[in-house]
Amino acid sequence: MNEDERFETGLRRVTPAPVPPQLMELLRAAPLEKPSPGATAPRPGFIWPAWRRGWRLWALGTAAVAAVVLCFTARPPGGSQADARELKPSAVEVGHSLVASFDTVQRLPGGEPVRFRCREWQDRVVIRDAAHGMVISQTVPRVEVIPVRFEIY
Amino acid sequence: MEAAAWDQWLAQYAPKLLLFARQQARCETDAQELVQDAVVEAWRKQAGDGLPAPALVFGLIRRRAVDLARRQDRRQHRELTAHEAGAPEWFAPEIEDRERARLLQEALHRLPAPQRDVVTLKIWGDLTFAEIAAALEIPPDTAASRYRYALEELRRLTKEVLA
Repeated sequence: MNEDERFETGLRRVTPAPVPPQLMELLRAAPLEKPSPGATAPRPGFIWPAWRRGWRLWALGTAAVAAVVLCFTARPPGGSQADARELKPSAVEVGHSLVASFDTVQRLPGGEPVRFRCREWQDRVVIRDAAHGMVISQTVPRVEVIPVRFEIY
Repeated sequence: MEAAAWDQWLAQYAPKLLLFARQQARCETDAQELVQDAVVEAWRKQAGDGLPAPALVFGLIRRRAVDLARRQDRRQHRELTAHEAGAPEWFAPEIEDRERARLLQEALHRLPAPQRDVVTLKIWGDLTFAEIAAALEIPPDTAASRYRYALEELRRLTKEVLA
């Protein structure tokens, strides 16, 4: 073994740091995100006008986040035995990040142009139950559309 | 593909992937996201049901890190902050080797990034020069040359401890 090989062996003896458990859990689930070979692209259906599609996504996103939060804050009436089995969040994180922001001009049915400010958000809810060792994480895209003003030409 | 085989693959490669990602990313959160995204993308790119090729995942981490730096214009900031106190340790030494690991991390920080990439993929990623060349999109001869220079410099920087 020459000097280079001895040095390389010495380097290899220092091993990389272990992977944090939460990342390892996410990596274990990676094969589940692989699309199945038989999967087909969704067929195009009715397409909403851009500004109405924005409102619809916004409503869906908000409803999904609200549903998750409600599931862990609303208590069922009575049933102390059920309480022992249910998840008890030790920490709840709710956050959001801005993905994109742009303005667009659309016409109302009467033909009047109106400017909308569109913002794409990612809402994130993380619920931890330390007693049961569970972490529930959900990220929901949300589109916010705000009519800014009527355009005057 | 059996879950056991995937667990075994992760046990073998996940720490190496994270080590490489930590060297590429501005912060620990970015590093972990790079690994996660690259692994998922590697699965999607797999034509058959085999396990992802490690060289492919290393290459995806590298490309995504470059994209991230360009998109967020953080490259300069990353270079300045990568060595801040409180950054995660790259290596997991035994107690008696803690000084050796710290010195090695310091020395790797001081290497030019192209040399650090090659030496990390060769020593801790167990890739061949051909695989390193594919992952970093450079000629194999360049990879081998960078490795020789990197090894020489590392030896100089760590001769007290690792020699």
